[in-house]
Order: sequence, then structure tokens, then C-alpha cells
Amino acid sequence: MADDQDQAIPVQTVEEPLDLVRLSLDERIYVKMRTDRELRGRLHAYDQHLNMILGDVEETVTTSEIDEETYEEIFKTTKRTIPMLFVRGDGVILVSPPMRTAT
Amino acid sequence: MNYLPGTASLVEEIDKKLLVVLRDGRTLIGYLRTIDQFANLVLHRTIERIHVGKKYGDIPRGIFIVRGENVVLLGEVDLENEDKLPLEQVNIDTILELQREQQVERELEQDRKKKAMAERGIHVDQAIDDF
Amino acid sequence: MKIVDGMVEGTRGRGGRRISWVKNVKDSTGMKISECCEILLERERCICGTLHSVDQFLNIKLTDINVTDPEKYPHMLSVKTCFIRGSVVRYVQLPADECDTQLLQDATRKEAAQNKQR
Repeated sequence: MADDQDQAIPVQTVEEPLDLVRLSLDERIYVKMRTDRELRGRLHAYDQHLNMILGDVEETVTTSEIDEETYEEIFKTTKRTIPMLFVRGDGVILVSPPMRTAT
Repeated sequence: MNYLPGTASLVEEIDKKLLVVLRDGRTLIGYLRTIDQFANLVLHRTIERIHVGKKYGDIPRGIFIVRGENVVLLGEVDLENEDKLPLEQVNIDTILELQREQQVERELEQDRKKKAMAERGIHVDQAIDDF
Repeated sequence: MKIVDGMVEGTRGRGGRRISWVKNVKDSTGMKISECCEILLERERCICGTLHSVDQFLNIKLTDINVTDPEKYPHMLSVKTCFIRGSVVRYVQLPADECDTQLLQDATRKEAAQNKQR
């Protein structure tokens, strides 16, 4: 995963939260958004506001409704894929680095 | 005003007839007279346009100073096609009545949901639609 | 194309920092003016159009716009070009084949390094 041969890049240390995001570049990350949205996608770019560009994104939107007859709570999740997505930082709740268990 | 090419600027829109959509869903149509860096706007000869289904009505409002943070978007009104819309204009009273009916319906729907939630011990903030 | 170049260099020269890879968005999409991008706003409003310009607040100007659900937004029928306030934008869907992901990643790393030095 460490693909920074570029000399301009300082030693890979995690001193601040965004360093962890930097280490996730070109990896698939999980992003939790406001309004019950989740994104999974490859991180291509970010900035200090956590504006991001993600590739091959899967967006999951969760809505909860109550069935009026049975009072059953119904969680509906709708998924869709977006090839390339710019995400505005102010909607981001958390960013999770790639899971190491996979592959 | 000096701005760079490729920069989204409202300067070119000044004195044009613009449609402004606000965060609460209202639609204003008026002539943009001045702007600032926050996209605060001054609209002149403004009307508020209310749409219900395929019908719409206009309410004359006059001059507006709109605080930028409430602006969702501004669009230049296509003056050539302005009158060729597949919509029907009705008078103010009619559209207000239609809007009221629509509103009542929505509130009933929300109440039903809220009640169902409350019976399960979930209290829903009214803030849901506030964003 | 030149317009976009001017914007990128100009903005960089002035402040140095900040404009960042946002310029690469313009590099990758703004130039190919034929391509569409789709903006998803609060309350599920969704507008398709050609990216005309962006500013430092990420306010966006679109030309040739299409609203995905004209039934829901009849008022947009008479509008061809629009200015969207950056603060109401949730997503921008970009044309994937126009994005140089390597360029984006390099620019992000460079910017992260620059921010470190300050």
C-alpha cells in the first residue's frame, strides 16, 4: 500500500487525523455522511475540509418508516453506484480507513 | 470588479431577470441589482411564484434583500421560452388555496408518521424537514 | 481550455495554498465542456449540466441544465444556466473517464505535505 516514492513526501507518520486520511489514498474507504448516508469508494483526493473525490462509489441511503397497520419498523436501504463522485466536506461525519482483513 | 476567468461569479447576472430558489423551497423571480461575496442579493420588482402540480401563481413582492446563506440557486430566466411552459397560470387566491390544501395533506401525513413513531416510544423532532 | 488554465495559475499565484486539487477537478472536467456533471443538493434536488465555472467557495455555474425530475421542480423549466451556492451542494457526480486519478492523488499528497510545513 505504501506507494509514495515521491521525494516531496515526508516520512509516513501519523501526527494528526488527516495523516490517516492521507495514508488511505488510493484505497477503498468508508465514509459516513449526515442524513443517513454511507459511502464506500476509492479515495482519490481530499483537502483540509474533507472535501473528497471518490471513485467507484457505492452509496447506501437508509430510511426508516413505520408501517401504519402493524407498527413494524421498516428500514429501507437503497444502494446505487457512482463512478466518480465529489463529496462536499461539510456533510462528512467520519472517514474510516480500509479494512486490513480483506484481501 | 476584478475576477479571474473560470471563476463562478454573479457579476454577469446583474440587472438580468433571475429565478432564485431559497432553502425553504420558495421561488422568487426578480431583477438582480447587486451582490456581494456571500451571495447576498438585492432583487428588484420581485414576484414570488408558487407551484402546485402543473399550476402556478405569482404574488408581487417588490424589493428583497436576500441573505446569501438561504440561497440554493440562481438561474437566468430564458426570456424566449418563458411563456411557452407546459404550465397553467392561475390567480393568487386559487394558488394560495391549492397550496394550503397541499400543506394540510403533508401535515396529516407527518402527523400519522409521528403518531406511529410515538406509539413505539420514538419521538421525532420536527426538525427533519428543516434542512 | 485556456480559461481553465488561467484560473488555475492565477489562483495559485495569488494565495499559494488552498485552491488545491479543486483545480484538478477543473483540469479533469471543466475543460471537457461537453461532459455533464450532476449536482445533488439538499432535499434531493438534483441538477445535471455542463460545468462552466467554480469559485473558492465551490459555488458552481452550470450551463445547459436539466432537472432530473421536472414534475417535482416545474419552476426550473424556464432556466437554462444557473449559479448554485456551494454550501447547498452535497455531491457532484463527475464523468469518471475524464478524471486523472493519478494526478488527483499526486496533487493531494503534495498539498498535504505543503500544509505540514506551515
